[in-house]
Amino acid sequence: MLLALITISFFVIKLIPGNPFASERMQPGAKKAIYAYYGLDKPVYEQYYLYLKNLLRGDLGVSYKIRSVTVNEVIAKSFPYSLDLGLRAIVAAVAAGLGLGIVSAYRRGRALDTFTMILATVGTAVPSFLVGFFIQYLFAVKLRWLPVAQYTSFAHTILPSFALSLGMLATIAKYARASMIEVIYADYVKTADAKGLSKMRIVLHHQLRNALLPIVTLLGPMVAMVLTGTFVVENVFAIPGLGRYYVTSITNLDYTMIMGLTIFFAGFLVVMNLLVDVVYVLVDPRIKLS
Amino acid sequence: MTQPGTELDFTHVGAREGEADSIKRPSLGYFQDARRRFKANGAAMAGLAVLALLAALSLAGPLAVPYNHEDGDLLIANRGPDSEHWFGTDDLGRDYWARIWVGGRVSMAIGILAALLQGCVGILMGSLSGFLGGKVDLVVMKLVDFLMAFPYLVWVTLLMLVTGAGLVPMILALTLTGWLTMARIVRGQILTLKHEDYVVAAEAMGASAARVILKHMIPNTMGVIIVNLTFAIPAAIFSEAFLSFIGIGMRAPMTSWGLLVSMGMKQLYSYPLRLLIPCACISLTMLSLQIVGDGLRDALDPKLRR
Amino acid sequence: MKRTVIALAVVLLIGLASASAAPAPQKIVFADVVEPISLDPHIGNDNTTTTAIMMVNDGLLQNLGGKFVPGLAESYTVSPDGAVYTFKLRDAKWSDGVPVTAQQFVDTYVRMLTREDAMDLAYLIYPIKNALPLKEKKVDASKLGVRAVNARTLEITLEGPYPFMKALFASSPMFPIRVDLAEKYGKDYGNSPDKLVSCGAYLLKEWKHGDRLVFEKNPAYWNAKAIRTPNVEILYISDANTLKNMYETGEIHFCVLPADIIPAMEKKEGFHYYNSGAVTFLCFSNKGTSPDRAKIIQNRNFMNALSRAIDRADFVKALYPSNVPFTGVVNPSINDQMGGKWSDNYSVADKYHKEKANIAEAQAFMKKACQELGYASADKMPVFEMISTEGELNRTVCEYFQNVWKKAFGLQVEIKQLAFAQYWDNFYGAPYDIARSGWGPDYDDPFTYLDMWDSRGGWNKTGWVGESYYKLITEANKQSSMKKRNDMFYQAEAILLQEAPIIPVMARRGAYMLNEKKIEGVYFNIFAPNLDFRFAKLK
Repeated sequence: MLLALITISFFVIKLIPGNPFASERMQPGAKKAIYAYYGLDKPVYEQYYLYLKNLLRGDLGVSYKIRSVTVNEVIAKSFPYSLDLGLRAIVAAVAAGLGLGIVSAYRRGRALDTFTMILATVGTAVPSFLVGFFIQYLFAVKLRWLPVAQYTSFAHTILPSFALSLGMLATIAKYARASMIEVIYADYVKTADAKGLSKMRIVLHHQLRNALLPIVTLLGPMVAMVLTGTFVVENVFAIPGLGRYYVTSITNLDYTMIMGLTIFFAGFLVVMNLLVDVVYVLVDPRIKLS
Repeated sequence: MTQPGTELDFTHVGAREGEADSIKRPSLGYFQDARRRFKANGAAMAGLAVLALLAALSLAGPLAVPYNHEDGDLLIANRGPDSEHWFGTDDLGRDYWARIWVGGRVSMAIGILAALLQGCVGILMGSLSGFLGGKVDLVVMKLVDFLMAFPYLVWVTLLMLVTGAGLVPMILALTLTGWLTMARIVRGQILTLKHEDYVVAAEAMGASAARVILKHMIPNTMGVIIVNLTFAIPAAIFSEAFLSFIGIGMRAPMTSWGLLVSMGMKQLYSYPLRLLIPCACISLTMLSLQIVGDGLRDALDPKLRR
Repeated sequence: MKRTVIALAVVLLIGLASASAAPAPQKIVFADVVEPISLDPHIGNDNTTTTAIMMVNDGLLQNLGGKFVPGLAESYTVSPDGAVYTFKLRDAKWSDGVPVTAQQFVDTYVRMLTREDAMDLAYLIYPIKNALPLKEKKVDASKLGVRAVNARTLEITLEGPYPFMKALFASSPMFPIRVDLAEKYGKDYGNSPDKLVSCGAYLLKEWKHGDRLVFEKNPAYWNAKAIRTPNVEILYISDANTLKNMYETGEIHFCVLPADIIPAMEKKEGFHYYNSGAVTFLCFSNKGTSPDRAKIIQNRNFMNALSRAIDRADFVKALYPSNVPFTGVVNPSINDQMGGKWSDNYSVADKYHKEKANIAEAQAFMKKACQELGYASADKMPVFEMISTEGELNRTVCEYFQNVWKKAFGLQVEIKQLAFAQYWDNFYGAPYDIARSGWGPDYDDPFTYLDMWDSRGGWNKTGWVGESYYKLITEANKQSSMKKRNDMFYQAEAILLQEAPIIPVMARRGAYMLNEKKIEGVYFNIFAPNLDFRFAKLK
């Protein structure tokens, strides 16, 4: 399947008009030399064959645009940033989303519930770059609590993680609230209550699992969402992650970079979806691994 | 997830009917009933009203002022809102009110057309796959799985780079990548419906596959389809905004909300209104479509039928 | 729930504590919206790249805000005819301990004129004797007018008394490189700390591509005592709004502002306009995307009509308040080498192109053009394609031309915004009709605006060939009288404006942020690199 994906993206990228090496003052001789260097003078099928051969060795090629940098290096250097940012965002979103969802399910109609519902709807309706700029301006420029941009200390990570997580947080809160409401009056909860179990225990042991189910299914698409979210958030907060590379490689027509990152993203998503399936089985007592 | 028309629901309603001999309320069709319940949902109705307002403004807004979206007067460039230019003017002295609502037309057109096309392709593929089963099902589902593994916006971006900017390429790119969810959902529905008595009956009476699908199965999955469509529209509008943000959007002098947002972004600190207005439009649209979608789902859910 | 709240509060508190505990930066931080391409001086000459190169390299001379002081050369003499420079090099060393020698300069310039894999900056040193023939492979390298008299004496012979050479000796394309290492490392030369040696004020400590370059004071620099700040960082901040915010909070000390953000910053402390010397044009291709379009573009009345319909004054005021309307080829503010500005004696303002629009005149021109070309009216002409790079402001600018010509003549123009690489590909290879384009000066002399239109130079892609034009500018450079030289340049400018398919639009001014209360010793040059902060100090 990954092969098909590689093939399709390889040829789609070849179809893009334009020449990655065109620049302001490129000499005619230079163009030929560079084409030969990157093997672009060979027929397309041969380029494809070579690409696959290198790929099998785990080699994604050399960037056409950033001098003497390989795609592998770029991924190795910048993926940790994106991963770190993404994980922080997901953890924050799940923790805060679940918390808000559960509590507002118990306090239906109260102020906190209203707040959660407003947050849930607004969070999904406002683009993350806008959130990014807004909190950057408020917390960094106006209040001076946190640094504006970059990713060098813990303080630097707070704003971008929050900007990236808000959309997810909102969705999670919404789903958690809905599924908690469904189970609040379930028979087994009443039974547990009658047995004199503490409220905390009921919530954590009996209800949370049910509330978690729909959220686990959401995680798959959410990883993808985080991925595309990073394109924008990394730009706003000047984080040298993969998302920003992806956008610049598109405007630069850095074919090998676009290819390499696309394959990487896709592979990553496949793995993530598998993981989500595993987690799903672990969380849902009704599904047994057979 | 809701699954209207499952056997469980059917028996449930049946048990109720057993209680009463007389018909207690006028017999309502599925959609009549849904409409009634939707109307009772205050939030959803409010959402619908906002949507209607935005749509009306997009259609009629530019007509209400003596300016259009492309002709500007440099002498009045960069003005704030006043009685002549309700949203001020942009850096070419073009009326921002006109630009916002012309942009609204484009964004809504993209949202609606892309969602509809995605819907058509998704329904076609989903129902074929679900109904025919076997090899076709295998192939289609493999294709769906495969495309889903690809980051969706990455796909769209690559396609747009090949075709170049513009309304039609964008809708096509969004369609090519957006039909997957719909196909999956429709297939799931068809698979459940396949063994319903009325389908078996229709088949037994010699109805063609096309007739069975079109006359019997699709109408019964309509609820889910409609709900899915209301969620596909904001997704398409958001995608358009994202593509504009990374620089592949509409062709000049056409404009769209996404484009206005990305232009406003650059001037965020110089002319904040230019960002806030189109952003508010997009957010309001997203918000109300979601609320309406939720409302529709509740309304169309047979489980909640009283 | 309470736990979550507490956890969140703790997280926030830690964050705040670590933010406020961060010590004041002991380093100078500069940021730009693009990243340097390479520290090999022959790969790129954009502002950011040359700024970074200047940190780790040095010129024969240094340009400190327009004053030329000795650099790697401790002294120099010029022959009476102004064509031979003899430099006495000082006892300077590269960071690997190798001394800086005259032969390294010779090797550098030969390499620049013979290498094929780099950006074509060779044209910059064509004033050197036999540089052009060497580039065209007509003579061999030994004939080049650069000679190592001995290890510490360098003699450079020019084709004529070029008055702008001092500026070039101080700019990055003429900095020496270590050809031995460049050949050893190939394409990797100058891209990481271990594949670069420095003879400049700083050492490249780290280059995190896509993020930052970290520099550290070079203790072996010949003028190390003048370096007052131990560390310097150049950050890559792709978003202009973020750049602005970082300047405001003091996370960066200075930056050059992208145009969109200028109106928001005009009133802020540390805002400065500068004359970048750059000029912008609409370039037409004499070949066009089809023969019928080519025929129209070659019509002079058509060109005049388009130009006359543009209101440069209003356009600049609305879109680029920092810029100046422009109707010539040579930037009016450039040095005329006679102690004044080019426009003092050689203004073409309102001569061939007019600053204000005159729609009636424009329409009359268009009518004539239509008659000559056999079109009933301009709206019957084919649709023209205008190419431009991406970006919101570029789009707005294109929309202006599109709209103005549509309103005046009914002429249809389609705008194609292309990714940067696609744009250059189109401009250089594929046919186009209209391209938005500009030119930034390489040195403070009218010649920098004129030689780019030489059809052999590589930049001029209009398809226009002006034999008499080329003869004029070549001859002008051989004149020892600056008055005569300028007169000839002026004639050439007139030819260009009347014959070549170009429409000048505006001369650019840029803006930068630099808070003098916080930093001192930053020199500003109008040629790349704009900001020279090798000798700066935080207050």
